Amino acid sequence: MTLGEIVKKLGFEVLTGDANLNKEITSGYVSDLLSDVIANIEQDSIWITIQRHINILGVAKLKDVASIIFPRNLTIEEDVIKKAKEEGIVLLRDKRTAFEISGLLYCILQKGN
Amino acid sequence: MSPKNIVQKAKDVGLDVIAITDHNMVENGLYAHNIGKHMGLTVLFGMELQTREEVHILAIFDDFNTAMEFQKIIYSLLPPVKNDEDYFGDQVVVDENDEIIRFEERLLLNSSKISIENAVYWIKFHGGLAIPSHIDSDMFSIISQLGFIPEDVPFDALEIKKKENIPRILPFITNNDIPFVTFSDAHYLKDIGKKRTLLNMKSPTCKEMEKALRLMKGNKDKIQEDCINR
Repeated sequence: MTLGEIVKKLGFEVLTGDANLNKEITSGYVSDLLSDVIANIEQDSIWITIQRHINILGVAKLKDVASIIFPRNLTIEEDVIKKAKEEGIVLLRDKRTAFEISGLLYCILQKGN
Repeated sequence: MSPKNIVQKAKDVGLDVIAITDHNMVENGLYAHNIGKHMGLTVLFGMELQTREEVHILAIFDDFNTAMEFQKIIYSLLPPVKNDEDYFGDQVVVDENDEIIRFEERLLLNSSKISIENAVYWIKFHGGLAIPSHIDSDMFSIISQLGFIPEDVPFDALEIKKKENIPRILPFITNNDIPFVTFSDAHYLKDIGKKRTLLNMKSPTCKEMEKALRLMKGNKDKIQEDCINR
């Protein structure tokens, strides 16, 4: 399933514009410890996190993460959004909690398979 | 641990400079500082700050007023959650005579809502030292929380628990200019001075320490000389 389809289905807010929404998503991961993400995330994943430090983009790049989604409508700093656009990493945001977002994503990704 | 026996112990084990760095709180440093003045030990002020990324950073200052100004900022950014004394223990301020001056009610082991960058810029702008602590730890370390050490933050040093861990963490450090140091992180009297860092300084001030640390940059190969375990 592409990022664009997921965004449309679940009504996520896209922070980084229209670019790269054709990326194919196969999996997801939830963690706020970046060392843990480096060790365990699969490529082409959506990563759910409340960690907003700019290092998230370095980790996403390193692990070929397609997109990062921030729960609870967290405020994201402008320089993080700008850098994500440069790096081609899609930043998403939603008002729901990490628990709810992972549940929804899990369901639609399972159906897609 | 009272200010009096902390200073006495530090003298006994031959330390010249110590800093009192409670979690998110600097106040206890004042009394140790006053006792240290009489006994010939430099006691600097500071705290082990927990940032919003849940990273521990040592903030160290020469003077109490600057440190208190920092404490006020950090305190205002701590969630208003009360300490549970049965579970987490007392959070006390103790004076020169081992008298408890007050109990801090707000839970200090929480994260303050300040980013690493903003905290470090404040510390450096006000003449302090900023040192991520126990970077080789699995919890609350800049590497466990952020995966790698952000390049453009002006840290004075990186504190490690065990020298043997350096090879393991090197891949996560891209800026090789920041020197390694080690401190005892003493939570009990018996641990004071067990780990220490040797610095050549004209005087025991943050400014001099900053200079000495700069000269130590890239010291991973001479870590045995700089960082000592007893």
